[in-house]
Amino acid sequence: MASYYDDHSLEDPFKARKKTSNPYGGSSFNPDLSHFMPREETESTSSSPSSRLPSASGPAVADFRRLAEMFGVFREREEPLGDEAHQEFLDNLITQLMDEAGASGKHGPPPASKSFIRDLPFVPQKDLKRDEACIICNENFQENESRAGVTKLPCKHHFDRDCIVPWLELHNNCPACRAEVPSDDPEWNRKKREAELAKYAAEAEVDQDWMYS
Amino acid sequence: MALPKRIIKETERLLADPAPGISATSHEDNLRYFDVVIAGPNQSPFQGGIFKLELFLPEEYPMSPPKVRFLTKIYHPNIDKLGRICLDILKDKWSPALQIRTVLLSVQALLSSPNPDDPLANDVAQHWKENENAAIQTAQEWTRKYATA
Repeated sequence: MASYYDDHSLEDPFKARKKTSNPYGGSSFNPDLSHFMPREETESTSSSPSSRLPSASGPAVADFRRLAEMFGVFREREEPLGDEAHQEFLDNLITQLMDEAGASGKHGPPPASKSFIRDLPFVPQKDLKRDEACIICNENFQENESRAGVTKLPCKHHFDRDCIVPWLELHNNCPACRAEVPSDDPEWNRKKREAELAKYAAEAEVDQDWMYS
Repeated sequence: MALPKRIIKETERLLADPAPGISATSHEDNLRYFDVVIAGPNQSPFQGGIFKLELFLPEEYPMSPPKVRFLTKIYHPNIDKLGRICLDILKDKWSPALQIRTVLLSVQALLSSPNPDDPLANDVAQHWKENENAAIQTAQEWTRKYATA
């Protein structure tokens, strides 16, 4: 028998949902709010550029945040009734949704560029101090032989390659000093160019002030 | 999955060499979940208070920050009524060079220096900005009421 969706030449959302992988690790709870929220609006309320989020979880983050905000409105409306248990239930729900939205790696700077990660240099043992440890795993560089070697960032900070690569795949800065490294993220690159232009403009102004004062 | 060596080391050091005014103990049945107690810093409205928090290390730790929440009610512009903390290193300023110890020291420092210009609890921040003395008094009252054993 043809289903409702076939009859209306629509994609069955239940079948479609099965096809998409669940970014939250196998749990059956995967609210797809796109069915009752206009997509454009969801995208525009997301403060982070969706381009740098993994495509599977990108809209979900905005959706979680939006759903949390909706419940926030419910909560405000409930206040005069003073139903404590109901309040607490909504509070917990909102906290959980916000937590999901703020889950790993979705805050902060974009990933380092693929070519930067690929071209990380190899640091030979002789360049390492005897008691030097990787600040990510806290292991002495000399101690563990099973590792993929030591590398350094342009700021000269040393790391186990196995420790720094997962970080750079999330964020383009040095864990020790936060010095930035290149990113493929267009939004980040645009902002960086703008900041540089603003800096040059400010410096030019200072130079002029100095000349004419 | 086995507990990373780094977490084991951190846990041991927290027990053997605790930071002043801070204790953190992991649950026996979940070594990623910590019961935390922070003493209200001297010369702060939270002095004399004993504040309970929960700290959880997600699977991605240390690539993503620990989740930390106050369990004891507290009147602070950067902590909301659910106990969530507005602290940059717990969000976009996280670095894997930070540890449970440094995170908890930062939370302790936040108690000493509330920042009403970056609020999480808007009504509290408003109060703090408009009448700091009265807000501090409320914070002291809450400390007495909720944070003393």
